[in-house]
Amino acid sequence: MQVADLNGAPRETGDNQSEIPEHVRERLTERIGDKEAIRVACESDLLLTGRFGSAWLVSTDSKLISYNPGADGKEWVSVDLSEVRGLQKRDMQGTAVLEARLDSRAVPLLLFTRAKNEAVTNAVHQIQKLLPNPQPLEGLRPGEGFPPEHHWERRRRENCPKCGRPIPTHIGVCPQCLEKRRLILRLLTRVKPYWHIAAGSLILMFMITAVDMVQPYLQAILVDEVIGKRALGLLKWILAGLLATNAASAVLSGLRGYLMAWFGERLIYELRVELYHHLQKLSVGFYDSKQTGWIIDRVSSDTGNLQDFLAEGLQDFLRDLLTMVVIGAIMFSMNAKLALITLLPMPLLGYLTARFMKRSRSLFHGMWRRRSRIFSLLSDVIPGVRVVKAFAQEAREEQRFQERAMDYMNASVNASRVFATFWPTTGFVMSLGGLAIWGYGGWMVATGQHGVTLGTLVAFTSYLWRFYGPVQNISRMSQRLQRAATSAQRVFEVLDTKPDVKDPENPVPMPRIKGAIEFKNVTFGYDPNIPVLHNISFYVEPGEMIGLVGPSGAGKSTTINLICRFYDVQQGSIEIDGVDIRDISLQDLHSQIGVVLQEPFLFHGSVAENIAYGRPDASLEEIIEAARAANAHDFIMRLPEGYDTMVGERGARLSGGECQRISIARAILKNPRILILDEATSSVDTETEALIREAIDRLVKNRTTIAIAHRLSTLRNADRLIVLDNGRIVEIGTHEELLAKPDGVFRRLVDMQAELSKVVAVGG
Amino acid sequence: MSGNPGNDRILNPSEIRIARDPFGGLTLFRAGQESASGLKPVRAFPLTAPDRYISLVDRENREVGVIRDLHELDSSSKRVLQEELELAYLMPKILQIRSVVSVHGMTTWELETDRGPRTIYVRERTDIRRLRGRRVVMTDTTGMKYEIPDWRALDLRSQELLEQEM
Repeated sequence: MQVADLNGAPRETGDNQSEIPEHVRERLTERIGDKEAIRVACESDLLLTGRFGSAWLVSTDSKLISYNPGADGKEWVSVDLSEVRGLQKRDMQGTAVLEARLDSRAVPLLLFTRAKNEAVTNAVHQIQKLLPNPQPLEGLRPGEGFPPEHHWERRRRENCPKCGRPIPTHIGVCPQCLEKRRLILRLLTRVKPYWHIAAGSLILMFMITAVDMVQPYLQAILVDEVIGKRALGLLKWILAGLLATNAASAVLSGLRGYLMAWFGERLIYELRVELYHHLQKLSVGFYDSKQTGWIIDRVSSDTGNLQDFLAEGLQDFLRDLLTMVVIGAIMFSMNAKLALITLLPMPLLGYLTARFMKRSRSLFHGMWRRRSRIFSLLSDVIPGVRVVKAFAQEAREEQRFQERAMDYMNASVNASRVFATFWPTTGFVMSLGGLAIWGYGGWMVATGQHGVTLGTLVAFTSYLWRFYGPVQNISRMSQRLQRAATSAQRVFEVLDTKPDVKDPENPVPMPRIKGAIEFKNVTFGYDPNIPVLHNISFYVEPGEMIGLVGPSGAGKSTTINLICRFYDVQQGSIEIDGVDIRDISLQDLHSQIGVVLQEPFLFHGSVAENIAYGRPDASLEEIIEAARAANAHDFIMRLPEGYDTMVGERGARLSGGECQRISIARAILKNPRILILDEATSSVDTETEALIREAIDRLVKNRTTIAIAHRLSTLRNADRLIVLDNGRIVEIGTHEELLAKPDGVFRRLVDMQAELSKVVAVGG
Repeated sequence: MSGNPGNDRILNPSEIRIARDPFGGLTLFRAGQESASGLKPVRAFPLTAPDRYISLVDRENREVGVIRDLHELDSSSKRVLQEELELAYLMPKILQIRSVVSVHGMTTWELETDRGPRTIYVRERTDIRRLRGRRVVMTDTTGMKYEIPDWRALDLRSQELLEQEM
């Protein structure tokens, strides 16, 4: 990047130099003189005194200067680079301070909030390059800034890539940057295959509108001719006409309703299926970054919103617009002056409605929030009623409930007040139109000079009331549009996401994997800036059983995620039988890997269906064989409906050990070449553990196995153990070899567990 | 079991002194001897009892000791600790709410604070927390907290804007 420096001559600078505004530049030039160029510059949002303001840290080749405009006594801080031994950042609560470390003291340079963390970190790395004898940065590693705000929860916290504003978590889309028109157009392309249905429904709609328009006209004739001129012969025709238009309107509306329902459901069916198809293709990484609820919402509620918009909203809008134009035209053609006076209050009505909708939305939200506060208290306290009673806190809970109920009541009353003023107001505005007709129109009829008849007045009144609905609907349109655009954006966002893990274009066919696995200098992190595995290399013989050992967070689960190719490595490669797994088709790879997970997942379905999940064509005998080998047969036979018993959510309650054995049976039936075992025997009783271990012993025969277990004794059968710590391999070898190392990591873990089991033995 | 492990961490205010560490953070002196340096104060009750139970932790986040009450310290220690706390727990007080724009639950606030004007984004309603005594604490998207000691004491317009979003 080229940035003109203070001398005016362009110089090479880093990419992270912030744009210095002119007035700051002038002050800096005064201070530095014009001999030296600014190499690095970065802006903070806090002054050193802790007040909000724009402070600047700049570095020349010889000096570090912090400029805090208006900061009392701390306006300028300056240190010579030759004195600086290093830079250090100290994180505080919500803010951080950057300090220059000198021989005898540290000088605070910049105070900043999280918002500036990245910019400051980047600047510091550049300043580091200018230091004559740089030392390792303290508290600053690339990709590591502040600790997460709420480390106990994994909420998605993102900023809009376009405007930089934070994105509300629950909608996941930047509301300011929605390109409504583009989204709606893209949505409309989905209507194309059904254009004839849409057109048919539109024609029906026009017909209904036209029929509706005829009625007031007939009424006018009724008043003027039949009543006014006593033309009784005409009465039956008028009545027949009114009857016919009513009947036609009913029939056409029914037809259109059916057509629209079919159309809407069909569109949304297609969108849902397409969305689900795409979701199945997406990589595990996508599911990590999104919450389950978020994804479910896309398939259920967003598609529903779009249905509403495509089938109803758009056509309603056209109808309302058409109705307004047609009624307006009729009224003006009947009498322009009267029409003008009558329609005068309309803009006011539109404005009032739009305003009210906005206000009522925030009121409704307020009420809704307060009501959910009541419900959350209930769902909190009622299951905890034993605790409440045991601690004799009934009175306090009553008090809490009362407070929230009162809060809700106040909000409701407040909302009712707005409603209570809105409806009478609009009613009043509407009546102004009627009043204008009867007043001005009445005067016109009475004077008899303006060609206005009583029938015209009746027709006018009737048209007027038909005009109100569309005006109010159109005032609400912008909201419907916003909601549809938001939903469309979210749905398209999913559809536009490309899977990170791609199937190779020319896969190496691997009909039968032998089972050699090799990690070659693998470095990987879920966030590429924060590696979880550092330069891992190991080789597994076909048929070998490897135990992965290490403290939690060491990278064990990450290692098996990579073997399953749920993620792609960032550096190095993983090979199976000498072929890079990125060159093996995902189908070939996944059909030959079996996984028994830490928390066995059973789908809603029968026991047999769950066992045969990986091979739906398995015979009943094979299923029973697999269950037997997994030591699951006996307990399955004790279930009321044997292998047909429903399990999973809403199904029979199985214990952890039982689920575990069903998932082992699933893996046995699949007969994979590579087996992944994750923590298969945690949290079950000793007897079950023995049954599971026996099942696993059968399972691991004749295939390559990678097993993770916290209970080190369960890995006794492993041919070799790989000990991981902090994403690095620290030890590798057989059980005995590793135990023989007196100060090895594995030895320490074994000793600790032995100690722990002693405590359990004594205490339990 | 050993005795209550928490109590021996409480520092006797008459035996300790706190000074500024020239290399950043605080230095703790026990019985006149320098005992630990580069310390960071961490409040146990940052919202409800900010001056009581302040833990001193070292650079590896290990607790060195707990100060029961800031006001029990000698005046110079107290001043140093207070200054450090004030920067570490920068929590501007909201004096006035100029405007609130709400888009789908995310709100943009233009505020006047005791540390100058500021525009903040609050991502969710749960980030606006109501505490006892009509106190309100808002957390913005960067994790910075802003305090309203008594929201009924704000001007009427500010109250109205706040109430809409609470």
